Amino acid sequence: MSPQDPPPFVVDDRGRVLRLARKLGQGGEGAVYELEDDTDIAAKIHHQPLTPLRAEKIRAMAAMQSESVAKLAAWPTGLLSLPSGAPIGLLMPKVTGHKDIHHLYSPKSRRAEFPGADWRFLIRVAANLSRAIATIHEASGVVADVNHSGVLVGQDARVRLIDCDSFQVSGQGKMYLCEVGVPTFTPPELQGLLFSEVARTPNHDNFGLAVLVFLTLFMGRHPYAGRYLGLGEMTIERAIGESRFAYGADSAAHQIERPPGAPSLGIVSPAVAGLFERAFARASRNDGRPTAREWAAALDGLEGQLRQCAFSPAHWHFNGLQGCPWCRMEAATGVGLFSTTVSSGAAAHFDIDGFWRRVEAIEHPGGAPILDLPEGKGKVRISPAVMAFRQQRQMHRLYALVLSALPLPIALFVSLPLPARGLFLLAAVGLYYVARTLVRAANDPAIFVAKAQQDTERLERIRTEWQNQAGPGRFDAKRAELDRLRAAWIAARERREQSQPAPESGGRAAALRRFLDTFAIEDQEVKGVSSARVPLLESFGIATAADVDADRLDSVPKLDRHLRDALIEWRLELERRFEAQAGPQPAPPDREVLEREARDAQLRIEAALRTGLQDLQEIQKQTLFARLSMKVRVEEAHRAYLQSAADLKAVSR
Amino acid sequence: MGGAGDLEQIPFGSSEFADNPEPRCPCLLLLDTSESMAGARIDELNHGLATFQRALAADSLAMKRVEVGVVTFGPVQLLNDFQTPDHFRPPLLSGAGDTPMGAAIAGGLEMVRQRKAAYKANGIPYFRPWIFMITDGAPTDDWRAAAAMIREGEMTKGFSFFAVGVEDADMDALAQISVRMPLRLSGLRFRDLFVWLSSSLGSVSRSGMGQEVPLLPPGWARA
Repeated sequence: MSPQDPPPFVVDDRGRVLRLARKLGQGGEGAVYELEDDTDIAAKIHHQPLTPLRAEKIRAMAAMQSESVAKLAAWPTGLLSLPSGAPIGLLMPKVTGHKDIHHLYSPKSRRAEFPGADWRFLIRVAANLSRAIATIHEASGVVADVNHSGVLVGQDARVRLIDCDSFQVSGQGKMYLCEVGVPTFTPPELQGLLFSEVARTPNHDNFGLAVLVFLTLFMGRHPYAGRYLGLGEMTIERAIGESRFAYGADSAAHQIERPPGAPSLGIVSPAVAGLFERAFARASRNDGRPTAREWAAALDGLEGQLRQCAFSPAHWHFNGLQGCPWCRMEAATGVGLFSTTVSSGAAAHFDIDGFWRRVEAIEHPGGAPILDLPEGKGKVRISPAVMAFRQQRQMHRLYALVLSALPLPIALFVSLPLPARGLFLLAAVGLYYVARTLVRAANDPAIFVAKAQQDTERLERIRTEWQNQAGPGRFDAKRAELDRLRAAWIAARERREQSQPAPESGGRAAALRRFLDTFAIEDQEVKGVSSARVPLLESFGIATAADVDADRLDSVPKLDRHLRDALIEWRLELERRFEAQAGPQPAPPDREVLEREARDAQLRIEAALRTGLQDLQEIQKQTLFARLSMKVRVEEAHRAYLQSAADLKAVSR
Repeated sequence: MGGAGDLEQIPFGSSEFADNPEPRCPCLLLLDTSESMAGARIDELNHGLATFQRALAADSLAMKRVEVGVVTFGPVQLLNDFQTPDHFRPPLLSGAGDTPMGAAIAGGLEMVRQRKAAYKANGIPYFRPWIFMITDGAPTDDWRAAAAMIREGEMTKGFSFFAVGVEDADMDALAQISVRMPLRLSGLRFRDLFVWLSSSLGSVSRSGMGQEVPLLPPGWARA
């Protein structure tokens, strides 16, 4: 059993035995489980048995439940123990249908977990969170461990606070401290202190609240995560301790810049921006951070000062801005910040141009660098083995020479008959050949030949590998594939556009318009329209039945009511005539099928494009990496090749 | 906040950080794919990698914070650059070649350095990177420079380097390379190892940035 396995069952205060069911979540201290027989209650089970103080705190909290708090927090309702009696956890109301707030504030997870949530929604969540914390404060509690996983958000923007057993509470004349904290939400004055020894205040909570509000409004960016312009590592903890708010008015003085692509503090109203400045200012350390109530009021105010972007309906922004900050951010990063809730079946918008910019931004790795491989002529020293081999061969040759020369003095200097002399000479020649064969047999250079061949082949192989991995071939091939996919996508888009004419320009509506256009008011005897009125109507662009509609007629000053109604009646009559002629609406399935097929093709290509982009990035990095890691191997193989070539040359002489 | 600040140029390619500005917890796997790993060892390692991906994907916070990179050695190759578990496609490894551990470590450390530079340039907070090396042999190249770099990195808290030996790995050589005590895998329990690794990374990614996180006992290691 690993330390994280839960006990099979637990016992509550009244001695009821409870069986744990599915695990709902996992935290640092323990895990939360469903109960087998009760759907409204959850059990939090710690990894380690609780200290007596912790158990007492849970009992005290269970005793002080209140309705106002129960609505917004998973307040402990009872203590749980192991069968042995050791306290191990607590009971609390189960929160369903809610998700961690970090799923909401990161654009990436927001698209999946909170589809359709726009900035209005985010502001509302931040305001609701402020209201929840204000409620805790007004009930004399302190959340203490404010953090990204202690807040759950529903699809209706209401929040629930969880992990309430870590709140700091007072009951029966005793204060129960909170022993934990997450450093990135911890105010500067508490950084580095032991939480188990510090009594927290609402002013401390208000720092964590400001960080959470910031994360929520600023697309998941932490207020202290910036580009540090000084030397050394700048962790968030350190930046908090040194009041380096990366978006603040005096961020430059703190040598910190907001991250590239992140929005400026100006995207919120001056009132909300002022609260952020105050919350993160050095001067607010002891007191004076905006309270949860102040946040709620300012955020409600911001919600009333929003405007919808003219280009993208999913973009809502502060109406005091000239342009839309989200358009700018999306254009700069290629990331869709807010998902639009699209009608079923419609393909989500795929920005081919933005996508292609990302493809083009991947730098071509260029050709494989020319390696500085020495030619090695005359520079390579012969290896010791070859030296020894050559020395030995020299000796053998010398012996052979001496041996074959032995008969010579006899042939030359001893007086012998001519044929005998010739015999000795012949013997010398014969001996020479025998000795030479022996020397060759004893000094076979075959191993050097083999070694040279082997090293040549290895160099060849490694050079090919180098070309494959360090050269641009793989990159070019993948890039060509992406080019083809892009062309295919554009072709699919064109096919789609042809199969689905826009409602104004084609199809039945256009046919009706053409039909109505053939009926000029002038030519017709419209009941109640005297020809004297025609020029007036024409001057307002109303000439044929197609131009007749209520809005347009109402724009004509002093138009007789009867005349207006008569014209509309006339048009309706003509429309009915058109319907009778044109027959029932053409059956759409063919077009729908075509449309669906074209869309599916497009979606498939989009998926391939996305994977292709990822592959291309990977190949580019792999290529650059191969150049680093393979260089030594090529050089080494080349050295070995030069050596064995020189050796071979030396033994061949 | 002056108008000039709003005209600041934004480097292209920072989209992954705009999309997901969560703090990152990079983990580099240095995997031995030398000849001796071929067969059951590499099969189990492949299963382990798949388990790793699934285990990380099951943890919604780790999914946004942990980044996995893979470098294999024998020969040294970059298989995956750092990416979050949803983009991480576990590679299928095969064993062939020698054990150029020194070159792999040098290349891996360079990757970690570049990734940290990208985090800094984009204002993304990060946890201390983990480098996790798994081998069943001994280095066949010069590893002394790599060992010196590891000592330096551990001393400056630039990263944490863990070495795991499989079966007949040369534990003495590993002990000279790694500052932390190398661990020996019990049998071929790669899957247990990767489950442990993913839950450890999960706890790290939930912790404070400068905090030392108490790790679970590695049940997959042999004393």
